[in-house]
Amino acid sequence: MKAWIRRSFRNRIFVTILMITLVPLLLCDIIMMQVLLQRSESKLAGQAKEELARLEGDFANLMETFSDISEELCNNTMVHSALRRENKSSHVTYQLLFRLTDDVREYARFEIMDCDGNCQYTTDHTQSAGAMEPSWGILYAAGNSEELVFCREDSGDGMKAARAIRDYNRKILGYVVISMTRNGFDLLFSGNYSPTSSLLLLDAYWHPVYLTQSALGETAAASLRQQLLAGEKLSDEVRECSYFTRHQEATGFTLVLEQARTFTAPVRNTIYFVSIVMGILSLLLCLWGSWLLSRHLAEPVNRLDGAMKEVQKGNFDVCVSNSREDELGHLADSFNRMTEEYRKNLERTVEHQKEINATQLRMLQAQLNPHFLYNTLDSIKWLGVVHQVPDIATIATDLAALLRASISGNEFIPLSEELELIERYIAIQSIRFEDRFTCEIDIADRFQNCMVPKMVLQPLVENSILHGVADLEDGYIKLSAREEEGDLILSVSDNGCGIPPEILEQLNNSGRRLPGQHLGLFNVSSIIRLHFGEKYGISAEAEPGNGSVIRLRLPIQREETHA
Amino acid sequence: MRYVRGIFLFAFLLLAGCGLNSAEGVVSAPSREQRLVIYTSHTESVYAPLIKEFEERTGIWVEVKTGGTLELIECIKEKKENSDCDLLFGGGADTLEANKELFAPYSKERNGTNESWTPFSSSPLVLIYNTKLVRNNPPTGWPDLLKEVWQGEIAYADPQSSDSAYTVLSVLTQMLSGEESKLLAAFRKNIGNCGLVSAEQAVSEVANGNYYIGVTLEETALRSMQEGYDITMVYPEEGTCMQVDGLAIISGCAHEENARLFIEFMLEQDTQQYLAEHLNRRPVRTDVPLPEWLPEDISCISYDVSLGASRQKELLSLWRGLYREVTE
Repeated sequence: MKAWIRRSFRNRIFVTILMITLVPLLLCDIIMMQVLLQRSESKLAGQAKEELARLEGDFANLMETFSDISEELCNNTMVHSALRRENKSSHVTYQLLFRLTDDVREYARFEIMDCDGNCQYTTDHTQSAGAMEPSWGILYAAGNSEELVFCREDSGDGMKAARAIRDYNRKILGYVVISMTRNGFDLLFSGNYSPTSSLLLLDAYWHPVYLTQSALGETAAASLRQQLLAGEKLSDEVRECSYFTRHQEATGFTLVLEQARTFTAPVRNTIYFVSIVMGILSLLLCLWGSWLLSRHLAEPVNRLDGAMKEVQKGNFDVCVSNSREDELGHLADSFNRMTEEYRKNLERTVEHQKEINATQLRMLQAQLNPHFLYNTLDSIKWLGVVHQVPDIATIATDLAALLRASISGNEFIPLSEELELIERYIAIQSIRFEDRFTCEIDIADRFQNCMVPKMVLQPLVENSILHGVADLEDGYIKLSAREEEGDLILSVSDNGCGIPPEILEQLNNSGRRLPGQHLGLFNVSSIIRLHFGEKYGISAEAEPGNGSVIRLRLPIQREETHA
Repeated sequence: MRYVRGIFLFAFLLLAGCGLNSAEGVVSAPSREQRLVIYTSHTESVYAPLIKEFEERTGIWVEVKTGGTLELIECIKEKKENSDCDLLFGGGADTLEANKELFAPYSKERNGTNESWTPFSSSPLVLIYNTKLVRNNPPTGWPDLLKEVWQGEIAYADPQSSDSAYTVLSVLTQMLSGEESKLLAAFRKNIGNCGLVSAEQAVSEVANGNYYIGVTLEETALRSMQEGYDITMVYPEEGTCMQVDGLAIISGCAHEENARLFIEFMLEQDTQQYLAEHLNRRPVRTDVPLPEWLPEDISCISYDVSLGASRQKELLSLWRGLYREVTE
């Protein structure tokens, strides 16, 4: 995944947009869900607690009343004497019983039992309750307590409360027993809780005393007891109910309100479904948006990338079409300009090379048939030796040396060798001009090993002889060398008639035009320029009738450093 | 790093959301000292009033798990130390004796025994028959169970789950002369395909006419008769066997003190009297008067409990073999 993201910035854009779109949406969804659930739950919980408080209040009040009534019955001497008497039925006791229980008879049945658990007085109008055992159950508990004690019915539906009636010696005379059945609880609790909830009244050990929905309640109560004993949170995941509990101090009973949840599984599923659909919609929107944007960004870059690959392959004619004015547009423009420059530069280089080749060709043409000449000169030399004319032999030898040097393969030779060639050349020319000029070579030894292009001095000397000192009786030519700004300056000066101004001008301006005369000078100049650059070449000074100086500027390249 | 921070933020929000969701108003569960876990083979009508009374008298919360005695013992054996059971409530002498290594003794002077389990009541085995269906020659004793006339007409619980049913097998083998396997085979034929789980069911099966006669406990028969079932109960004339019902503390249990309290409660006079009067069980205490419907002078055979216990596995495997034979 990470590798995929890194592969292309288009993917990066895509993922970024995806995150920006989806993460806030999901966060929003989750937070909204949570807030909604919390709000609703806290509201319902508040409601449930209120209801429970009300229910507990009612229940506690009733129990309080029961307690008061039982206390009064227990402490009533009339009741005591009625229980002591053998003849037990007493209308006065009945009157008392009915008077006291006037307000609460609709909720419960009141009975007065003797010490053996036989019912003596009852408020019940249909049946007289059976005997109870004082050694078991509620009467046993009442016998061990001074207070009204409460317990559930054995059948699990309803409640009994009992209080022992004791005489002044604490001897038990009988019991007051209060039985509250399902109907009584219905009457007490109905209307005090919302219809979607149901109520469970559990005894101190969480066995059911009263259940509003008896069928479901039994299993619910059993599972609640299990959950309590297991230390779990009270809940019913199948029926999706929340439970709220409230302990009733006087009886030890616990009121449990079972409240159906608002956000049941189907409701939650709907919300999740909507969230997911929203998520998918934004995902699609994001895909579309990021596709457009990334295409907009990536297309020119990809085009540029393609063009660069073309350039790498050597095709310099590519041109990135561009109609944009943003940064990517500038980039494309720059690329186009760069390619153009590069192409022009290449063309110039090729042209340059062509020129060198042409010049070399020209020089070769100027040295036509060198082998023939060389052989001929050799023959002449031997003729001179045979006929004992030493001058002929000398000329022929010098000329042959010149010829050999000019056809040898080395393009660069040390200055010392060049000067040797110059000396041979001058020796030949001296014979031709019958020693009408002298030539002085004044070059320091440190320049002797500088590498110079072959035969560059000879055209200069030739120029000085032919166009300078040829017509004089005592011509003077001087070769000298010096160093200037790291370059080697070779100069050839003479005291001849000078150089015509138009030629001079062309020489100094590095003109490329080839004039009919001074061909050698121009060739030298162009060879040097092509080899070493425009900075180098020939410059000349001359005063008509007062000689001329031709300078040759070359970079200093020592023999050993030159390849 | 960015992602990690994002994830943290996300988790925090989720946790914050959940944190608000905490419950309120949960009534605290009873502490460890206030609990007792009882495994019982008794029906709810037997254990519920006793346990209710125990809870109210002691304030101890009781958790009940029901099942056949042998099934419950298997469950305890399987889980060993992890078993949550504190007390086994109910179970015949044979079965309890056979598994006595599981139990911790309740050594109380009053009990007079130093055994690993404590009897709290007993009930004799009785024969019952449907009064409407059986007019002439009603069953009178143990040999009647093997007579061919009753072939396929005897309601009898599976001895592998009900230990009173096992006692019947053991009594038959100890009492009647003859080869054991033949005796059992004859009895097996009369049972037919009767696959009842408990001795209780035998009574209702006889009462609704699915079977003519049955073997069950006196207390079960009496309770059914008090509820109005039209059956007749017969004490076998050769004498019957008292099916002793015991209590056993599981050794190494979590609430041993409370288990002892429960046994103490069960042996109280009040409780013993309640057992006799309401549950038709014969109390172990001699100072409790028997109600008039429990005859005192029933004859008992000399039944060897330790023999019954030691042979339990053997007899049951023999029975299983016969069961396959007949059904195939």
